Amino acid sequence: MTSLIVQVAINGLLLGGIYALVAIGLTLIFGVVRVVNFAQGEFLMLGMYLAFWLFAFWGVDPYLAVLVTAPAIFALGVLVQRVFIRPFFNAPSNSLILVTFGLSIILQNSALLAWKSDPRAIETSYSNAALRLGELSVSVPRLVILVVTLGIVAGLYVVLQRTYWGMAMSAVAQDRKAAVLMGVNIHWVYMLTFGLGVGLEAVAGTLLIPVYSVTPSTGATFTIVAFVVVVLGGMGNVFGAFLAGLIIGLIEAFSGFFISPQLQGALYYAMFVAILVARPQGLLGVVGAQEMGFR
Amino acid sequence: MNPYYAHVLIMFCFYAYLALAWNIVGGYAGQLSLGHAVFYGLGAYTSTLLFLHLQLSPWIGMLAGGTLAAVASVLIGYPCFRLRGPFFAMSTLAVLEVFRILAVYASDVTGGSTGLSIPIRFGLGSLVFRDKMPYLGVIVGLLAVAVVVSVLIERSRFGHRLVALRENEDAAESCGVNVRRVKLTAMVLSAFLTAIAGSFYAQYVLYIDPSGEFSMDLSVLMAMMAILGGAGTVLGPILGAAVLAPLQEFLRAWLGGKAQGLHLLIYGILIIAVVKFLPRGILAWLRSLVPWPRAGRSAAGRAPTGVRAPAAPAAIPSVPGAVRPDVPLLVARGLRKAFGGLVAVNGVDLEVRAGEILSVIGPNGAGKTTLFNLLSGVYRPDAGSILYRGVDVTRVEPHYACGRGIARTFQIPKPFADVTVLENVVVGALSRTPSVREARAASAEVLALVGLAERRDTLASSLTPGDQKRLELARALATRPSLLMLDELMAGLTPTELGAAMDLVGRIRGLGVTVVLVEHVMQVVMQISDRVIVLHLGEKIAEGPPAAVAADTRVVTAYLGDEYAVA
Amino acid sequence: MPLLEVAGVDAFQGRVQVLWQVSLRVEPGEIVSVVGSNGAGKSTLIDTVSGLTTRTAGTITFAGRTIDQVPPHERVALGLVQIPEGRRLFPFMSVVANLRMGSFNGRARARQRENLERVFGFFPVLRSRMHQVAGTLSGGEQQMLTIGRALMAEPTMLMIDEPSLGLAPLFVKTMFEVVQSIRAQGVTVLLVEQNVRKALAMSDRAYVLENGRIVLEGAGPDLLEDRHLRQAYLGL
Repeated sequence: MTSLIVQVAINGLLLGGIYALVAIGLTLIFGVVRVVNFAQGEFLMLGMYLAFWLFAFWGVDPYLAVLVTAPAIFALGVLVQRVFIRPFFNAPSNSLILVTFGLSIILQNSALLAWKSDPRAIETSYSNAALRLGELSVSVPRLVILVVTLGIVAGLYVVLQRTYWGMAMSAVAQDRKAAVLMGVNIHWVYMLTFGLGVGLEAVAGTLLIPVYSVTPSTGATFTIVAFVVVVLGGMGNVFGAFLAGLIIGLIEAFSGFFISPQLQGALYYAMFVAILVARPQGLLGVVGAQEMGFR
Repeated sequence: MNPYYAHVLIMFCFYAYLALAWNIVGGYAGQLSLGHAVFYGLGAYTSTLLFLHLQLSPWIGMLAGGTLAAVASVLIGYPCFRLRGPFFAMSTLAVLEVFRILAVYASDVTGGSTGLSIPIRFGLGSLVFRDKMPYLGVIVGLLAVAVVVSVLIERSRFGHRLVALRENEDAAESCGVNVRRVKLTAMVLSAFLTAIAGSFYAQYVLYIDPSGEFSMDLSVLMAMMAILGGAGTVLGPILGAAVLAPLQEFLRAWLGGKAQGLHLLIYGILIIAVVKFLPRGILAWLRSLVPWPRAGRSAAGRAPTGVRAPAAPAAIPSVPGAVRPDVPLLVARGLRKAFGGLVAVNGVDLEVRAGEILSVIGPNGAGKTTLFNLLSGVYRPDAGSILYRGVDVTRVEPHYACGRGIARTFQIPKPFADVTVLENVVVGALSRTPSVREARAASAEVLALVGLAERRDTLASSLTPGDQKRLELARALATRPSLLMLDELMAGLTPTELGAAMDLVGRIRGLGVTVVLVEHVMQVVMQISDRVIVLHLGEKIAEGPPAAVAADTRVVTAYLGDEYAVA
Repeated sequence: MPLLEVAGVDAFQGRVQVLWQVSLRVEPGEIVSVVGSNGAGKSTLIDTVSGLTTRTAGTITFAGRTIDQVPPHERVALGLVQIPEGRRLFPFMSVVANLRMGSFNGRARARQRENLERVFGFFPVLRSRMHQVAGTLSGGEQQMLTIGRALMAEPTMLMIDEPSLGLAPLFVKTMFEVVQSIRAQGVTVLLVEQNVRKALAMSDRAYVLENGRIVLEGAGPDLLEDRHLRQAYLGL
């Protein structure tokens, strides 16, 4: 019995690693650019498709393909920020909601038109590999994701604290006016952050394609989880997103015993609303509460 | 009529109806609900299930569905309205998905993803027809109802309050609008109407299933039509439907299953295009092309001409109740408010005497605005009490304070920007009368008093800052307060404007309104105040007639730095 | 030639006009104060010079060059540095990280290490709290940090918005002494202050801003005695 529980916990943590990675980009964009990106999941989806085609046509292993997909989606993100987001900074608040939402619809349906709705999946040599520890089994590709996510969290920590642009991003997130007065070009910071935020989705997607199939609506299913993780962990808090991702993963794994998988989606949506209403700053959040306009 | 054209017409009316229903919450109230189909689905499933299991006529089923949706909307709105902007929108999407998933899951009841079919039993009672025309008749009738409801809303006190809270929630609260309750009422109305459309369509196609009923595409479409045509108007949603409904049907007919997702792709592009190029909708754009007199509220219900001369103020009766000069109107004791580690107001006692002009002054950071917000209900004190005419108002909400007779202006004016000067003041006047006509008449008088009568039909956003302050004053006066609190009214006024403002404050007091000013402009404070209270670092350091306070060394020190004797 | 010249400037905060035809100049090496009651537009004036507001008329010249078209983040690199009102530190960054942010602009970055030493020399208490998170410092320490951070940018001209705001009187005294030593090191200072006496006492020249207009101008100590000034503040 205990080994069953431990196995479920392991699965939960591995799942959590995925969720954390997907959420980190969203929370970063919110913390610095102060935009809620409704289209975040679509960049994940694009990353997955890109990795799929690279493998299907040229046999590029996803772990290598990351070197292509991440920069590509990063560039796309920079473009999106410049063309779609920046023009609306001074527009009424509903505008950006509609724009990113519209973008989400455009990306999803472009994918649908281009690639149809059949699920695409690949199988690599390690897709089904698993470490065996006694009765326990740990899926290797998923473990890789967890490790990479940890690496990214640590890496971001270093980048945000020590590098030139990282400090600029951090400064803009903490006090925009002061950042400008230090000589920070905030529009570059916004583009960089948005690019980085969606580039991380591409990393997640590329690492996911060996074990998950992709359809045009895959992004949407991940978006909601990302939102739940971000509000649980605190908007703008990268480490919070990591922790919250693990927690959500565990919750999903364990609740699978009690609730049918069909209902899990409903659980997430309900959690999302509940957290926002009951504890808007999340577990570790700082920027969150005022941004949500709580009274 | 050719059945295909009849169908397009039916769909146009159907979408126009839906857009109008959405418009109540999304347009008038300005709350971007992207998951409105939740009510649509509730309506469809309720009427269908009642028909299948209880053989209840869909006509009654419609009303039952509407009622259920209305109840659900309160349960949904109560938590979700606490959220703003993207988080509100996201939570409406989330709620929609919860219901969709539940509908799939509870397949014993709902038929799951296979859906439910409605048996074909022609007849008026069962709302199933062989021909299209009767359906057209029903939907045209429903559309007419939606139009009438919208027009009634626009003309009612409720509608004015909706628009006020859309423009500025804080200002609306200060005018006596119970924002939370008004938003929920709008939601209830909208949900009821939306649900009925769900029932109608179920009877039209005789089939329902979770993804068709709790459909995100439909939710977005509803919002889009209203926004494209012009949210917050009656014609706008109809125009939007006129554009999008044929487009939708045309695409569906032409593409069929071939280019799945194309019509949605077009919507996505349209959404962004509308936000970028036609943010106020087609209607506003059309109006800007033709020199149309500004239709709508301000033209329709003009108060009778015969504007009084500004110099002779009409009596603006304060809230009835004997007001005696030696009786304290407002008594605050031991008020304390801290934000995190910073104590903004530290044990302040304050008394406002009926009929006086009292000024609260102090250097920047002294706590004046915090004190102001404590007295007007915007903040709750950590300690202390506030009695207004003997009634404890320590922890009341701003709209309640307004009802009791406390009115206020804001340091940075918060006009209802997209609405005329007169309509701004009307919102204030509506706190005292449910009749829009009376409110308009009263507002015209107040505008004459403050000298904005000629600007009554100007949009508030086009006023100069000085005039916006006057507008705010007028709006506050229209609530017929016995206590009027002015937050830095004089800041940024030119010398001429200062003179006019002081004169106005004097006249307001002459009408029986007690005035408390928070001020920085010293000439004003010294000239018009009966008494002055000085705050410094959150505490009261002096109190008394202006000259005495100005000579008080503690006050001089606080303002000018140490030991500066006034010669 | 003045280091900074503001000529006939109209400026807006959003849609509200706050400054009308404001003109002033600051000569190299001077300490110039702009005083006036709250709401007079003092912060807007400094923000306008920094390029953060909408300016519809007039010109601003710095070191002989018109900077109207220069975006705000580039003005810093020219040596025009503002210390904003309310300190505005990066609350979750450490003291030293805040200081490093100060030398973000390209010109000063090369000498970051030396400048850090200089600032620590100026404010020894900051060295002892080097890795402490800025949000947890006391008010006086935070004020020193903002000044230090500004010095890291190697300013030719420092514009300080209400340095004494919210500070206990003892710190106010220290603060003004620091401003004077900064000037002694060759930095020109434009000061915006509510604490009129201290500001005027140490300024070479001063301007009085009232409701968005310059109403008075003169040598600091002279203005201190001026009746109009007392009237503006105390309405007598």
